[in-house]
Amino acid sequence: MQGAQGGNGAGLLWELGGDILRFPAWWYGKGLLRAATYAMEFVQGYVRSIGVMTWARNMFVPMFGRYDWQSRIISVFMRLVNVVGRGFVTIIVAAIVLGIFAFYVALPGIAVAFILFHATSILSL
Amino acid sequence: MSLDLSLIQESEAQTSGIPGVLIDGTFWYWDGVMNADAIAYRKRMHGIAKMFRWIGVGAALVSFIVFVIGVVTIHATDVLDSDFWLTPHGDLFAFWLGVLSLCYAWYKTRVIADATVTIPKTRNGVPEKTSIPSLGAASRKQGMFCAMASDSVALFEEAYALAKKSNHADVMAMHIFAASTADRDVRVLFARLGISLSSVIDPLRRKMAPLPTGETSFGNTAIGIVRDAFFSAATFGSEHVSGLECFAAAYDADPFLQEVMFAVGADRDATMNTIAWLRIQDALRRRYQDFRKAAGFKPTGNMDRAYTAVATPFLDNVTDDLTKNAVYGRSEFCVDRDMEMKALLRSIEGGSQSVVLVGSPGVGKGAVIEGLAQLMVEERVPNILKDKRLLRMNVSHIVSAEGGNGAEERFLYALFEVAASGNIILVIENIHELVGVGGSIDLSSILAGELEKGYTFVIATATPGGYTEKLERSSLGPKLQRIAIDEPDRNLAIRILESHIGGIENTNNVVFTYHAVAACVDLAARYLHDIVLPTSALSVAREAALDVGKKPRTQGLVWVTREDIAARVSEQSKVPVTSISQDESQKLLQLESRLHERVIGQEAAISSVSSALRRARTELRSGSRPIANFLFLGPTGVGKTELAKTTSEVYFGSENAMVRFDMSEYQDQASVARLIGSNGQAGLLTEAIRKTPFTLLLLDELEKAHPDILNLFLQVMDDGRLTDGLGRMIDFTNVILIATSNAGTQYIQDEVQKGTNLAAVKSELMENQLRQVYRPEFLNRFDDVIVFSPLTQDDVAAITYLMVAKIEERLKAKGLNFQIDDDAVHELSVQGYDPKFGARPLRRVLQDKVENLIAERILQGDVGRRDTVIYHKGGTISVEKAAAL
Repeated sequence: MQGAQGGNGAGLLWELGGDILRFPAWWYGKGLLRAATYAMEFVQGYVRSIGVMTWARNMFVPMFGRYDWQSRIISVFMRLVNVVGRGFVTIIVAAIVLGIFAFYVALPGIAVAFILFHATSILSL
Repeated sequence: MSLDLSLIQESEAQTSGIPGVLIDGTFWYWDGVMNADAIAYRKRMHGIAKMFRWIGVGAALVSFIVFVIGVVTIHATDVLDSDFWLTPHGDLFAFWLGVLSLCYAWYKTRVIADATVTIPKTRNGVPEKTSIPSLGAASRKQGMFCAMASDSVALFEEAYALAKKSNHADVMAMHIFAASTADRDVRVLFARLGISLSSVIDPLRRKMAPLPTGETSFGNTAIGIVRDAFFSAATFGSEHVSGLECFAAAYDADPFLQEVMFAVGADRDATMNTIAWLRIQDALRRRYQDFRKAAGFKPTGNMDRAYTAVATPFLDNVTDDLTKNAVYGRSEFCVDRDMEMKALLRSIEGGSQSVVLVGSPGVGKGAVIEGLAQLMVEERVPNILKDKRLLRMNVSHIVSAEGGNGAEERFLYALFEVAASGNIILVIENIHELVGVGGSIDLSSILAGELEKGYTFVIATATPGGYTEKLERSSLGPKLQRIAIDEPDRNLAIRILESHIGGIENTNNVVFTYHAVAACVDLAARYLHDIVLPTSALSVAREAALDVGKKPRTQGLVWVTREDIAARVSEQSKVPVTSISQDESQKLLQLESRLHERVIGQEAAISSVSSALRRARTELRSGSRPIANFLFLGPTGVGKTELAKTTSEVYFGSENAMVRFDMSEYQDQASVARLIGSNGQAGLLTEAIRKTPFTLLLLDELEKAHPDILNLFLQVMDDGRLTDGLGRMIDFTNVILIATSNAGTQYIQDEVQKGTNLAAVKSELMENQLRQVYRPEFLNRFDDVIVFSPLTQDDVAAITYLMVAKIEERLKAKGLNFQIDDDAVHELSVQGYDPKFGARPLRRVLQDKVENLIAERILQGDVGRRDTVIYHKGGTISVEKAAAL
């Protein structure tokens, strides 16, 4: 809902024309920021949910409250495996999200490029 | 598009400043424009924005259809070939046009949604209503128009249109109120209050008609209301200013609107509590969404996130995992216990101090603990509670296993697991029950010892009695910081109940009116004393919903009304609290004549008792004392006890419905314990009143009771309550207390014989005669001291008729008829009259002269069924045989 404001019918056409121009400006401005934030939050949420940072922070803290040296060694090994495994999964998820984000960003540009390509090609035939 | 500030009534703003709300240093002010042009323009632009979005969707749809048709009919096999996508042709042109249109539609959708700004949550303190001389004075400012929900904008536009239509000079609270009645939430509010819109709108129209006319402006009054609505929305954490907040602000701003609502049965408390109800529902919905989001990150197993904890197999058997329950949505949200929660968190954060929540059963100690579990799930707790499990220990599982042997070992082992795990916070409910339990060592001492070591802390609960009598004196007491959980006041209890009503409604498929919710709290507080608020009100609401939900349905929506709640409370408490029916009204109005059917004379006594009952039933009495306290004085046999019995029969259904104590049986000091109980024993009096709280309590021959018992009744008459030997508070506020006494009898008889006026007799009795028996403060507690006058010969004659009628009734039951003429009745009454003993000798006379003779004739076989026994003057009996069949 716009906060503004009065006007008459003359402004309407400007508004309509301007809207078409505002579309790419929004997509690569505010819209891009919003999509980037969303993608980042998604990856952050995923990282939090699988607790990879917690595993890394507690690398040398024995698991299951077992403080004997054998358990400590096993614990460090298990944590290392977990950090590597979870880190790897995180990277894959982040890469997928990045890919989707890139596709989203490029989509109107790709669409316009192909429209122009097909239009000019058809017209030149 | 530039903002035309001249449209915001500059002149008014300059004279009174610009009203607004300060949130974390940002000044929010009204920047909307409300005039015909602006409204029309806004509507047009909004329409166009929506239209464009649909054009985008439509274009995308058409393009994709064209593409699909082209592919299916011409290029079906080429789609999987990459050359197809790079070869220019019309189908692909349509496809990409569709993609672009879809992007455009998405852009329009986001832009429409983003036009509304979310009201920020305050970080420091609370929002503040304020005014500034000019916008330039604010270092950070933000228009509040964009924080309005689209419904609220439509509401203000409608209010403007209403004022404009009537040429009113200003948009007033009444216009906004009238416009808000179209809002969905406001309609729900009216439905909950049981108010029809027309009953409010009609007086509103009449009031609005003479408002000053002129060029309509959205002036300071309206802007003030918008500001108040925005302030409420910010205070209650709403994302946008809703129609309900606009309604609430308008209602609050205009006393006339409050009066209109009052006239249709919604006083200020009712209206504000119903508004609060809708806010609570909205807040709970938001909280639930946030909670579910956060709960996804909370581990539900035994382990913490870092897997440093130790498995706790024994504890898992004897505890409930409250954090896990919270994650799975098995616990209810804790509402309006912020102060207690802060105190709890402060104590824990301050130094890992163990705490005990002290409150009566049902006050909500468990809810506070479940609320803590939810905060732990959301990790909105001090670091010491983060990534921890909250386990509620079931002490009885530990104590009662293996026949009670080894309780100490089991308890110690449980504490050992707590220590070893490192991620457990223990909750022990009713911790006072640990005191004195165990074999050679008290469990509370064991716990105190372990707490002393400092490796863990506990969150405990206790009842006030348990805390003072057991815990405080034990070694465990000093280890626990006391946090009082008080019984909520009426409005808080209503709000707590409102937060639970949604679940009850869904379970039983019913809908509560506000008056039903308020009645749950009011009636539970007044008549159900075993549990305190809010649990008592909650259980009434649940049971009433169950009752109503089972009724056959004639329509989709079944309402739970105040009457349904009253019926439930009546059934539970055995006190009539439902509305008075027509029959009962008649019964109450004709009480005197009905009492006179059994009690002859004694006008003053009958009138006092009747009035007391009427006052009680119409709720025009003090709620903290018995319905009435009467002292009946007079010689024996004048009808004191008879009036009590008759009242019990007429009003409470039967003579036996009253609770009667012959005080001559309670003459020693030990009698106090018999009446109210002691050392864990219930008392005769307290137990009788607990079982039948709405009754007539007759204390016969009060002057014979021990003085300590009189002190007891002094408290009953004053406070309407007694505490029994089990520590329960027994409610006497629905009791009619009648004490009879023969004190001063001789004086009464002498004075009446002399012909002294009864009022003078009573005055002398009160001032001198009775003071020898009762203390003045005791006498003053009685609502009325009624002197029963000695019976006259005429009174006894009338009583004889009543008693003869009873004999007739008894014979009728045996199939016999009875006849007696007036002369015979008169003769009996003369024989049965004794000024000293009232009507008491009459019963003996009737037994000797009438009943004995009839009994003999029956035994002789002279009287058969359908025969008529005739009693003649002179004491003879004849039998009239019935005609042969």
